[in-house]
Amino acid sequence: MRVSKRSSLVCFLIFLAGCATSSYQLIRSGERGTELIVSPDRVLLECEPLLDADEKGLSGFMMHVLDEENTVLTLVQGNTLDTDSCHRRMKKMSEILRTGKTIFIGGTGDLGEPRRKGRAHVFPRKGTFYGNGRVLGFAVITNEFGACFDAYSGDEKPCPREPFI
Amino acid sequence: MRVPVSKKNPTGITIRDRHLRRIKGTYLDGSEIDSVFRQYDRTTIVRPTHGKLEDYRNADQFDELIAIWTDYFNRKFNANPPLDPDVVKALIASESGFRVDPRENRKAFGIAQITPETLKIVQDPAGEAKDFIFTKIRQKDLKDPHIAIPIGIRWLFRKRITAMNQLKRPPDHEELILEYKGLLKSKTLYKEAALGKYRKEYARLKKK
Repeated sequence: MRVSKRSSLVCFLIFLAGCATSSYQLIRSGERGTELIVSPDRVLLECEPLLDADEKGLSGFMMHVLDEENTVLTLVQGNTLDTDSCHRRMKKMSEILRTGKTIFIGGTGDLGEPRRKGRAHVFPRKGTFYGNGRVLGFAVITNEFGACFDAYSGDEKPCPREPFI
Repeated sequence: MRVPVSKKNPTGITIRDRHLRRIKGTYLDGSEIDSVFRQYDRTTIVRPTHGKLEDYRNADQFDELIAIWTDYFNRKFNANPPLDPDVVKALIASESGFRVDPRENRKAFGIAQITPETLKIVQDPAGEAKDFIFTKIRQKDLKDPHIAIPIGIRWLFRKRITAMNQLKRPPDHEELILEYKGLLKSKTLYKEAALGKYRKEYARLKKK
């Protein structure tokens, strides 16, 4: 009984810690783009194979972020990528998410439009949530240790670049 | 067509198709591109909207190139309706974020993300874009927006035709952009997201 109570307490504390570390903060959203600070559990990376595109071997890169209302906004790389490049960037960004607790994300465009229900996304540590139809252009992702990846220049310095500095 | 009788043409008859591309102004190489840009009459050109895409560092830096080459090809192809330079600007925003040499792709190059395959087609005198071709442009030249932007716009005009063939009607500007990206018939989530991004950039350019 005593052990059981203690393990329940530990589980509760882990649950609380989990809650405390899962965060979404909108820094700004407007004409100069959108900036978010989120915990890594709220970020999902995707290289969607474009099998029905005119050219073969292409993938579309997207980053899905679980927002404050538990709906999912999407940052998209506007140009299609060759599948190898897409997977290579996924690996680098996964490392940023794995090593960081505070993730900064910069995107072009704003979050002004009303939410509308979209496709379901499964966040491994959070559950299944629906897209909200909001789209930003992916610009940059970085963590508190300075690991950084830019949409068009990868981890090449300077990163991040204007206006996301 | 009939030409003066000469040693080279003893019959006085020649094939227009072969000669068209040799007439100055019917093909573009690096020096011709430069010459057209420098000498272009700027008085009546329609410029893309300025000062609206503040989240891109160099968003307005290429406005003159976009305006001149859009006008140039609108006239060359007698386009009706003419291509809107804001479509080109929003396309470039979505393709490269106005970076002249985005490195994160091995299949497409430069500010307009031209593929080697496209570069080959727009330089092929017998290819699908043979009615107006470029010449002597190398892949590394695509890092220069003075080269990449006219090729991108020329390719948009070609995509207008291929989209029309698929849709059996003229494409709207969103369908044109999807065709440029090779996604017109795609059913992927990425297509919707990429279109959403383009749509937003275009709307910002058009906002009063």
